[in-house]
Amino acid sequence: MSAKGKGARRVAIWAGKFFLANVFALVVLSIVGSWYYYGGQNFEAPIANETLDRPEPNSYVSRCVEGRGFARLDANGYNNAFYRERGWDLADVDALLQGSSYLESFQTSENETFVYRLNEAFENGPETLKFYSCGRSSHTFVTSTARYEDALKLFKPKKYAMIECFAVPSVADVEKSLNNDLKNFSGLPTKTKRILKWFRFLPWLHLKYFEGCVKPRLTAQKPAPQDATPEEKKASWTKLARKIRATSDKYGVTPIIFFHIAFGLNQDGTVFPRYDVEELAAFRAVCESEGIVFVDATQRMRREYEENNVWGYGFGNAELVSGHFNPDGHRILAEVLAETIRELDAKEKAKQ
Amino acid sequence: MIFNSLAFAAFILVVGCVLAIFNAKPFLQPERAATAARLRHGVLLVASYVFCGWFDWRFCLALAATTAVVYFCALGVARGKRSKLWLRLGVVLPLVALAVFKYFNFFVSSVASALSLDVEALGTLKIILPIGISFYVFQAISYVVDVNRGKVEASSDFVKVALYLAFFPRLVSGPIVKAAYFFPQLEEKRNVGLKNLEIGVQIFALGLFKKIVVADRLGAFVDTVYATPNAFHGAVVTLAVVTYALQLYFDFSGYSDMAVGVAKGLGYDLPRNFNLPYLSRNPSELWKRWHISLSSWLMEYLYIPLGGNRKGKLRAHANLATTMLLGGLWHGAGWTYVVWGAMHGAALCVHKAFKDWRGKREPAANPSAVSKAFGAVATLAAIFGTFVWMTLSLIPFRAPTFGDAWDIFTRMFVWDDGIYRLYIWTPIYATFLLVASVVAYVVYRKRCAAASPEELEKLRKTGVDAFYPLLDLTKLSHLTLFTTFIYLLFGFAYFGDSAFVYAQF
Repeated sequence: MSAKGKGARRVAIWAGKFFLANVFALVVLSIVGSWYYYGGQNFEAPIANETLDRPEPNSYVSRCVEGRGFARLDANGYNNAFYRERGWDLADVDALLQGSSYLESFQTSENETFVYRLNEAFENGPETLKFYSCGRSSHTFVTSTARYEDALKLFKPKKYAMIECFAVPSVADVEKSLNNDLKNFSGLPTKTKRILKWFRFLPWLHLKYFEGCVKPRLTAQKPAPQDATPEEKKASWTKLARKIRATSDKYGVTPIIFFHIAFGLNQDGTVFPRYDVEELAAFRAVCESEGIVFVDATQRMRREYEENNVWGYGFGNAELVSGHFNPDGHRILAEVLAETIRELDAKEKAKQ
Repeated sequence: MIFNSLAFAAFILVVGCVLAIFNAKPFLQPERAATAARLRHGVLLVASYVFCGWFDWRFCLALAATTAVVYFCALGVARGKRSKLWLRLGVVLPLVALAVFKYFNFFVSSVASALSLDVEALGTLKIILPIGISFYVFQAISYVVDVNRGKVEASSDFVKVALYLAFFPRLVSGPIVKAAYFFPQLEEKRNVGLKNLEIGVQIFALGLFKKIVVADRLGAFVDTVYATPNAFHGAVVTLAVVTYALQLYFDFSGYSDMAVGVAKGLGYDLPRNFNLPYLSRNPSELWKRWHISLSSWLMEYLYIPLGGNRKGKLRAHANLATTMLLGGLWHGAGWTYVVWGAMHGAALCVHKAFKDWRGKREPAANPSAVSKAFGAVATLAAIFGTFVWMTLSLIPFRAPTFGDAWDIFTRMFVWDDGIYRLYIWTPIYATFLLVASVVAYVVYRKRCAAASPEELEKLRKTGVDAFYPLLDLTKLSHLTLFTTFIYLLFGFAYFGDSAFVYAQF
C-alpha cells in the first residue's frame, strides 16, 4: 500500500474511533441527563387552551440544575402529587391555581410545593378543599389571564381561581391578555418525542444553548420604557380586572391574585423592593375595587427574613438568593394563601 | 475576545488554518525555511494585534509603543555605548506607561483623600487600562535587563521582539515569559501539527473545565456573599471566603492552562504558572507554586537587585517586604492590594526568621513510626495553616474597600445570624481538588521510587509536581474518555459572568 493509502486508512480508522467515542459519550450523557436535567419539555399541546403547552402526561421530571426537583406528572401533564397520593379524581377541583414555573415547581420535591402544602393544610380542616395546579413554565400573569376562562371551563373549580403574578402588567401586556394574542404550542411530532425520550441529553444541551446563547441576548434587550400615564394604566387594569371578575362570576368562583417577587438585598443586610411599590399599590387597589382578592406575599417573605433569617428564593446549588422558590418559599406562600382562604371562608360563614 | 468565547473559537480556527499552510511542501524546503519562519512569525504577530485590538484598537498603540521602546533600548544596551542610559530608559519608560495607565488616578485620589482635597480639582485622567499591560511591561523590562546581564542577545528583528511582547495566548494574563525562554523557540521550526494539537487541545480543555465549570460557578456564590455580607450567617460568609480561594485558583490556573494549550497547539511552549499551590507547607513554598512566572520575576528583577539576602538579615527582611508590597500593588491600583501584598510580605519575613532561628535540620536516617506519624501530622497542619493564611489574605484582595473587607472579616468571627444556605459546589470542587492533589502525590511517589539518586534530589526540591493528565487520542478508550469529558464539560458549564479575575490586572 502506498504512503498516501496508508495515511487515508489511518484517518478512516481514527474517524471510526471518533464516531464510537461520541456514541459512548452521548450514552453517558443521557444517563447523567436522566437524573440531572430531564422532563417538563414542551411535548404536548394544551388540552383545551388552558395553557400554551404542557409536559407529557404521566411522565417524570428530574432536575438538579436549580435545587433538587423530582415530580411525577398527572394524567393532564401537571405537577399535582397530592392528587396522585390520595387517589383523587382530577376532575374534582375546589381551587384552581394558574401561573408560571414558580407554580410548576420543578425545583423542589413534588411534596414540598406550596400547592401540595395547601392540600395538606386543607385536607383535614373543617372543610376539605382540593387545590389543583396547572402551573406551566413561562406562563406569566398575561398568559394566565388570557387563558383564564379556558382553564375555568376545563377544570371547573368549585370555589376559588387563583392567579400568580410577579410583575404588575403594563398597558401592552393587558392588551395582549384581553385580545388573547398568544399562540398555542401545537405539540411535538411523535418521532421527535421518541428521540427526546431516548436521547435524554438533548433537553440538557438545549438548556445550555438557552443559557449560553439565548438568555444573554434576552437580558441585553432592555424593556422599552413605559410611557403610559397612571390614568391610562389604571383604565387598562380596570378593563382586565372587570373581565376577570365577570368570568369568575360566570363560573361561580372567587378570583384571587397572589403577588410575589424576591426582594433585593442591600450591603448592610436590609432589603429593598425590586418593584415599583406605588404601582403595585395602585394595581392592587384596582383589583380590590373590582372584587378580586389580592394577596401580596412579598411582605410576609420580608418578615420571615427580618425575623427568622429565612429567605424564600434561591438554592445552595444555583443562584443563592434569587431564582425560584426553595422549600421555605413554598412553605411561606402556602401559609399566606391558607390564611387568606381561611379568612375568606370565615367571612362567608359570617355572612350566612 | 476571551478564551471561553465563540469569537475566540472562530479566531483560533482561522489562525490555525492560515499557519497550517506553512506545513505545505513548498515551505518545507530548506532554502525557503527562513522565509517560511518570517511569514509564520508575521502571521502570529498580526493575529496577536487583531486579538489585542478586538478589546479596543487603541490598546494596540500602547503595545506597539512599548515594543518600539524596548526594541531600541535593548539594541542600545547591546551596543555598549551609553548602555546604562539605554538600560534606564528601557526600564523606566515602560514603567511610566504602566504608572500613567494604571496608577495615576489611584495616586491622585489617594493624595486628595489624604489632604481632604477634591479629586476633580487635582485632575484625573479619563483613560482605560490597556489589556495585559501589567504583563507585557514586565516582559519588556526583563528583556532589556537580561540583555544588559548578557543572558539574552538583543534581537535586531523587530517582528521577533514584537511577537515576544504581543504573543496572544499569553497577552491578557500571562504567564510572564522571559526572552531567553521565548526567543530560541522562534529560531526553531515550530508550527501547528497533529501532535501539538492533540496535547494543546487537552490542556486547553482542562483549563476550560477549570474556568467555565468550576471557577465561574464558585464565583456566582462569592459575588453574592461579598456584595451583601451582612445578610448572611457567619458560616456562609466563611464558606464564601474559602470559596474565593478556590475560585481564584481555578480561574487563574484555568486561564494559564488555556494559554499553555493554545500556545502548544500553535507549536510553542509556555511555562507552567501553578504547581498545586494549596499543598504548600509555608508562605515561601506557596510563592514558588502560586503565579510562578510573577513570583520568579519579582525575585529576579526586584528582590535580587534590591540586595536580596546579601546585605544582612534586616535588609533581607526589608527587601522581602518591599518586593511583596510592590507585588501587591502590581495586582491593582488600590490600597487593599497593597495590604494583601504587605500581609504576604510579613508572612514571608516571619517564615524566614523562623527558618533562620531553627537552622537547617538533616532528616533522620531511620525515623521511627511515631516520628513518621508526627511528621505527617505536622506536614498536614502546615499545609492547612498556609491555606488558611492565603484564604484570609484574600479577603482584602477580593473586597472592593477596607470597609467591605472588615465587614467580611468580622462576620466570619462574630458568627451573627443571617441567611443560612450552604453552597454545595464548594465541597464538591474542594474534594475534586483534593483528589487531583492526591493523584499528583501518588504519581510523584511513583516517580521518586523509579528515579536515580540525582533525579530523586531534583524531585525532592520541586515537591509534589502538578502534571497534565494527557491521553493518547489515537486509542479508542482514551478518545472515549476525552469525548465524554468534553460533553460533560459543556453540560455542567456555568453560563453567567465569565470574565477572568486576573484580566483586570
